[in-house]
This record gives sequence, structure tokens and C-alpha cells, in this order.
Amino acid sequence: MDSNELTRLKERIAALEEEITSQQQMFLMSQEYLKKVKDELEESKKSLERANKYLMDGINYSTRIQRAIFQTESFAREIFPNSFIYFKPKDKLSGDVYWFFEKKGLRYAAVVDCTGHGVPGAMLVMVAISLLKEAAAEDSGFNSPSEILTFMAKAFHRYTHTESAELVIHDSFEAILISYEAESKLLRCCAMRNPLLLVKPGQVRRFDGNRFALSDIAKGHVQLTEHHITIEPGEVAYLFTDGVQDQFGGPLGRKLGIKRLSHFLEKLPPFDNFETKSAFSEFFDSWKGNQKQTDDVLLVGIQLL
Amino acid sequence: MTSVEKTLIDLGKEYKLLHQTPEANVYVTGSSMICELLVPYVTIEKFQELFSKLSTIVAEYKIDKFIFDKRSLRTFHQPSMEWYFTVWKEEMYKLGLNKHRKILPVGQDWFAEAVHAGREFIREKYPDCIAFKLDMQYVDSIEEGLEK
Repeated sequence: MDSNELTRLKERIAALEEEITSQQQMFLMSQEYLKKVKDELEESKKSLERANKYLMDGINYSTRIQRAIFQTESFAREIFPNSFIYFKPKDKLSGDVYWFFEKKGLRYAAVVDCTGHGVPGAMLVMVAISLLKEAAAEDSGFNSPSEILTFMAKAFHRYTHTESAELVIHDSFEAILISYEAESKLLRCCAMRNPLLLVKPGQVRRFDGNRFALSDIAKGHVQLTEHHITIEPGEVAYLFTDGVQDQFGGPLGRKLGIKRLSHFLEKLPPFDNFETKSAFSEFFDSWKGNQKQTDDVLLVGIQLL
Repeated sequence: MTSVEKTLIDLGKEYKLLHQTPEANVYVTGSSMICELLVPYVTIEKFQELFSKLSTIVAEYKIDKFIFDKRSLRTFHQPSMEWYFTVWKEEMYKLGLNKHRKILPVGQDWFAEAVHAGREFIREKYPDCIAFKLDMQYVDSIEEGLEK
């Protein structure tokens, strides 16, 4: 081996050594970078967990407050002894609410569906409850379901439409409110959107709701109308929010719909607070199957006579 | 004929092979300069020689786009990369070179990861480095590099 060859060989060995050193550096650098990324991800995960816990604690406590403010089923039975409430919020907090009260010899039941669900729905529910309580006061001056819902629509519109255009919210509510006078067997019903179903075995009477925009009601452009109905023996009034009929399910993954709901209700045996509620619960769960719950679900059943 | 030359001919581009070493071929077409590496590793010494030559070409031919074809590479020297990013690119930017297109080895995921790691370390060390503000894109071919 001559000296030139030896020099070339030494240069080649030096280049290979440098290449190996560079490879090791690449490896260590990549390893260090991946560790850094992993540490950052772990820190982000912890941070997300902390934020999630903070939010969930708030939501859980808000749910306790909401449940405490909601009337109980037993309270509802003080007003309507033969009744049940099927209440299944989509999330923990509900955008649906029911409310029962008595006033000047009439018994009232309301089912209100505020737009949205979860936290925003729950905030609007507080507004709805406050308005219902105000309307329910003996001296409120509102003496019919349509007067009460008109009052609520006006107040709701006023609360949600401030002078600042940026702060205007486009949320609304749908509701159904009935009043019942036992002596005359007269039921008055005013509904915004969803119908009232009066059901007894083999028979369904459907009373459609008004389909006006809340702003039109609030501004007095339209007037809510009422149904005045004489109740037949054995009839059960069903008040519900659209989470019931809009639930997807069944063999073809379709919406439940009011027609299918009516068919189910008319086939039920005579009303019983617990049995009827349990039957509806089974029916609804079976319809929903593995589908996600679409919305808050609220259905109130009241046997009036 | 190298694959780069073939591509340039197929595209009907006029070009010049301005520099040729065992490590790289350097072409100029229009205001674009293409450096095609030919070996799996370029030593520090050869890397500096090569980039010194590239600097003179950028100045002489008013190059505004540099296509760096690193498909043959399997190992890089991080300090050289640091110099390339923070010194060479900045000097070339002053000469008008502001578009960088890079072609990485195909199927060498760990190489790509190491390149990414190296870039991030440089970014962390030199947050104001002009190289990170330039038009830099990874491409899959010389043709794409010339187009984009």
C-alpha cells in the first residue's frame, strides 16, 4: 500500500467516522425532540384535564341547582294527582322545563322548550321559570294560557333584544300551556309549535299549536289562539317537547314523529302514573336503540278526568 | 445523464450544469438553481465547499429559487444545517434568493423526522432567523419544485 492510498484510506475512515457521529447526533436529537414533544403533550393533557374538571364541576353543580329549582314529580301530583313526568335531558343541564301551578280555581301545566340544550339552554330555562312564576302569581292579571304565553314571549323578546345589536341573541322558546277547570271539565290550551294530544284507549285527539315566530307574538303582529276543549272521561293530556318526536331510531333510523307517538299512546292500557310512565320510557328507549339522543326530552302525561 | 437532467430535458428547459463533484451536481435553469446531492452523506468539509460554490452561482446568475434535492441523503450533520439555515440562507436572501424548495428522501420517515426535529431546535435557538420567514416548501420532484 503506497502513501497516497494510505492517505485516501485514512480520509475515507475519517469520513465514515464523521458520518457515524452525525448519525448518532441525528438519533439523539430526534430522541430529545420526541421527548420534548411527549412532555408538551403530557402537559397539554394535564392542562385539558384540569380545564375539563373545572368545567364539569361547574356543570355538575349547576345541574344540582337546576334540579333544586325544578318542581318535583310529587309536587306536580299535588296539582294533578294522576300525572307523570318523563324528563331526560340530552346533557346534564336541561333546556326543557315543566311547571305546574294553581290559580283562581284553575290548574295549570306548562312544558317549555328553550332553544339549545346544555348550559345555554339551562340559562334560558331560568328565564322561563322566572316568567312562569311571575305569571302564576295571583295578582299577575294573566288569566288564560294565551295571555301567559304572550306575556312570556314579550318578556323573553325584551330580555334577548338589547339596544346593542352585538348583544342580541336569537334564542327563543316553544311551549305548551294548559289550564283545567274540573267543575266544567273545560281544558284551555295554548301552544307555541308542538301539539297537545288527548288520548284514551283507541282514540287520539290532536290540537295543533300556533306556529308564529316569537318576535311576531312579542311585537303584537299576531295573536296566540287557544283551544277550548271539553274533556272526555279517561282522556289523558300529553304535553311534550320536540325532543320526543325528533328522536331518531327504529329499524330505519328515522324520526319518531307525532303519528307514531300517537299510535303508541292510543294502544296503552288505562292510565296509571307509574305503569304509563314506565311503558313510555321503554317505548322511547327501544325506539332510540343505539342512536344518540337528539335533544332534551320531556313528556308530561296528565289524566284529567 | 442524471434524473435531474432528464427531467429538465423532458420539460424542455434550457439549463447549465455549472458545478459537478462526486457529492453533487448543480444546475441553473432560468433564475432557479438546482443542487442534486448524489451521496448518502456529505462531510462538513465538502458541504462547506459546495455551499461556497453555490453562493457564487446565486450572485452571478441572480438566482431567486433554490431547489435542494436531498433524495440520496441518509445522514446530515446538524451543525452544518444550523449554519446553512442561519448564515447561508440569510446571506443568499440579501442576494435575492427567497424561494426554497426541498426534496427529501422517499420512504425515509425517520430522516424526515430528524429534519423536522433539527429545524425545530434551530427555530428555538434562533427565533428571529430570516430562514423561517422565507417561502420554503417541501416538494416531491424537480418538476414540482420548478412549478411551485
